[in-house]
Amino acid sequence: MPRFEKSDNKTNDAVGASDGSACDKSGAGFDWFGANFVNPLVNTLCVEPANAITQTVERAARQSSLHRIEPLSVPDTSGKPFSSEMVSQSVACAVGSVGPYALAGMLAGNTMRCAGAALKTEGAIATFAQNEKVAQIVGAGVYDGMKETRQGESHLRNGIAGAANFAVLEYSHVDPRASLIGRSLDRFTSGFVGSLTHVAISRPDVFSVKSPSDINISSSVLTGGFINVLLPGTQQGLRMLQEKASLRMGRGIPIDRYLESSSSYANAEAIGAGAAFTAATTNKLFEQNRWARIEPNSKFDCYLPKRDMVSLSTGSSRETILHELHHRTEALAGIAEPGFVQAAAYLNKDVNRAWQTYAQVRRAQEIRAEIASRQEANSSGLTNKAELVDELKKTIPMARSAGGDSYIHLWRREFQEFLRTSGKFRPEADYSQCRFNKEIRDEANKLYVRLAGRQPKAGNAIDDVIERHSLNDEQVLSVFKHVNEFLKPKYNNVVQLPLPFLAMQTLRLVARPEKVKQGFHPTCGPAALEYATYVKHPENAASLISQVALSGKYKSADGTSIILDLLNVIPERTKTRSFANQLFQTTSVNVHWQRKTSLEPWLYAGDGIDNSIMAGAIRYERQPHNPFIPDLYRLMDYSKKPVEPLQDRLAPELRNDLADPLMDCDSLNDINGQINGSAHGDIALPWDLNSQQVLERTLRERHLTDRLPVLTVIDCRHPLFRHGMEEPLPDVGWHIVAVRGYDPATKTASIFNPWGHILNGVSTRDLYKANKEFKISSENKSL
Amino acid sequence: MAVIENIGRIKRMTLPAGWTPTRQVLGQFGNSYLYHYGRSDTPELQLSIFYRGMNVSSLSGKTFERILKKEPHELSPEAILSITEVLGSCAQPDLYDLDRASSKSLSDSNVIDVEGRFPEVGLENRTIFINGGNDGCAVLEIIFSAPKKVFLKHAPEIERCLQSIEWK
Repeated sequence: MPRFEKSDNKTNDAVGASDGSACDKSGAGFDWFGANFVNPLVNTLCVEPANAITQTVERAARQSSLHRIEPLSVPDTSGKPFSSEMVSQSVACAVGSVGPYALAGMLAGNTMRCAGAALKTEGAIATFAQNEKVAQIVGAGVYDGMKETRQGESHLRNGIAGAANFAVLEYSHVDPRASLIGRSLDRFTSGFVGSLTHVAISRPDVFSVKSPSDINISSSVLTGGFINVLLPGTQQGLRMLQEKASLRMGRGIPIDRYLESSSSYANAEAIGAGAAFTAATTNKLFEQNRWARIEPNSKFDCYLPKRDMVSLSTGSSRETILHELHHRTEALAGIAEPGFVQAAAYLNKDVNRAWQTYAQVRRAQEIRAEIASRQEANSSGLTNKAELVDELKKTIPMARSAGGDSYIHLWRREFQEFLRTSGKFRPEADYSQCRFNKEIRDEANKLYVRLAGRQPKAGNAIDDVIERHSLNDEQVLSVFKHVNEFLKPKYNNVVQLPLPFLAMQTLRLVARPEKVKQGFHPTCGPAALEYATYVKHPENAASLISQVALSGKYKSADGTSIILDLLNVIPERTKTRSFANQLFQTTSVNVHWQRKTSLEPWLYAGDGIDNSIMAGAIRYERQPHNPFIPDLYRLMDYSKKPVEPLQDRLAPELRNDLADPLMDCDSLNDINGQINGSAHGDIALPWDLNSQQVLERTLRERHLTDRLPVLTVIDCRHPLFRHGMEEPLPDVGWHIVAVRGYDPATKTASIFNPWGHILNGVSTRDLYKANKEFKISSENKSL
Repeated sequence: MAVIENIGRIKRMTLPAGWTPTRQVLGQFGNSYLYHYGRSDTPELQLSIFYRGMNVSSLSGKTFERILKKEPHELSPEAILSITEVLGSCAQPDLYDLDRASSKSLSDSNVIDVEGRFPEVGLENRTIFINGGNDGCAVLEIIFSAPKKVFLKHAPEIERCLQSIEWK
């Protein structure tokens, strides 16, 4: 409790200031208010807590009171019971004290909750740990115990006195049906009694008629009354602030508080609680999941085991909450673990069987959760459970999960990770894979701030990247960092580029790599590689774009600095591909050619000694303005004076067959190694595939080891790539596409064509045939 | 008179008198082809049949098809914007001054007819965009371009040539 001692030498000045002579001076009104309200308020709000903390620390360090703050002087009111000065001081002390006490209670409550959750306590101990009244009593006791002692006091006795005082406050009866004034009077009375209890324990001697008292009891009890009137509102305000901060940090709120708010609706809107529960359901839910945390207003409904948190989207139904909590119960009990172990055991023998087992385990989890939620929701129970199980078995795999993909699709992706980790992987969440990484949120916010003014759909583009579940947190973070890097205002770019557009295009390509296009440029190979990079390593693509946009240079994996001609980094006029596509594709061609130190035999200059060449001598450059072919790029040979097109090195008979940028599978593998690293092997299959069986085996193996997409050569004259367009057909039709998915069961592939198309369900037979040169019948060559 | 046969959807098209094939470029991009026709006495005059070799996106292809399915009409700026990819350079304001774009019936098949000019090279232009495949994604183009005076002089015979088209 705040202290009211009889005056001592510290307060003499103030007493003097409050006598009649002082009142005649100008500003006496303020002096009175300052001395009787501001000073006690500051003392109780700041000085007492600060001294309590510093002195506790100093006591622990066995030091004397080195950092004590002297309290502001307050006039003595011991001889003037219930005078205006005393009432003012009591109100000020109550206002100043209630915050530290409520804060102490909140901290004690948090500590008790953390300990309870860490020890996974159940039953009475858990109930005790979650009891907020107990927390307030403990907090007040600790706070009072920490405070400075006066003559005749001890820390222990003060602590017990504080706890006893607040026990009276917390457990005294307040009629909830009474009016505000009635409830306030109830509280005032119990505060009055609590303060007397405090004084009785901390200073029992003051009640002795023999010893003179140095405690102003009337002021203390008055303050106690006021504190108890203010306490509930302060506690509620602090709790709301804590919950808001906790939600902002992505930590959620305890389930009991969520359930309380969702049933009372007191602050339901504030924290986004959207579901109402019956008392029975609430109790049962709370009993079974007392240490779970809830994050309302999230994007998805899911359970996150690592945080022991259930994330709920706005307006989630009661069934959804029950469903997710059932996942929590199962996760903690490890019910699915034997199934995962069984699937892991099959991995070495039969991958298909391992996948089937894995999918069965995942399906069973969903079925159990769904049944549990429906059972809980329908108090009368389920009438035909067997029928429901049969129905769920059929519908759940194809049902859309929170992220928009079907469950079977998500399980397949999980299984790839399961396979990669030799069966050690366990599914993280159900199954939104929401991103709670604080760094991601910070970078996303920065990006949003930089883009939002100029790009109204920036928020959607950023969200789309975040929601691409196949990317891990590090990749998303890296993409955001790279894009933020080139949007930073402090950089002076090589030329004034439309950077917000470039940022939006990069984000869109990261979110949907199938938007990559080659446009009217002979860059099918680099475009297919760009697609594969955005699928597997979008952070590398974003890094490339960022480097080129900032400096016009790109540093490849071997440390070579690839320099781009100024025209290369200016947006094309024809706009048949995006600026981001242009930068990636032209840079990647340069990554190959500028690092060359020897040319292939078919590029032998025939001018003397050998085919060696200085690194950087060959550049893929956009040609100066040509109104007929506005965005023409050529490989230029800077080893010649004057500079000549590299095509001039080709033998005349080859010039009709080979066109810039002269890319083959080896070139693409080389570029991939420089941009994405070569840890995962080649990105392109050999130009000429050996057999259909080898193709099938390769695709199956890459599919199971998560190494798709892979690039392959096709002849685009094959009907598969003509969209019904009839002849005439050119004499040569070599083109590069990316195989993005493969289904070993049906032996069909999904293909990305950098012209801007996805072809699904392409049989390996057709794909293999397309890899071979298409034979044109003579009648097609008419003019 | 020379007759063009079997190029994409074009089964037959009769060239005006004095016109002959001048040049062809095949396979520059994908399955692209470009056939040029002209007159030896007027080298700056050119009629071309062009297929860009690669398909436009499914979205653009569907929009193109949808426009062609409607009764012949003048295209609004919004409609032009929706098929920017199909119209290629003709939809790039910094490359092309577009005067008019409309869908019209040519030998009982709807096409898009665009008129304008390439200001940088001083060529008047008329381009016919044809659905060359089965899903609107393969776009066949008949391009007529010449300096303004020559263009206006030969425009009527080009119109007759276009009216002579027989489709497959």
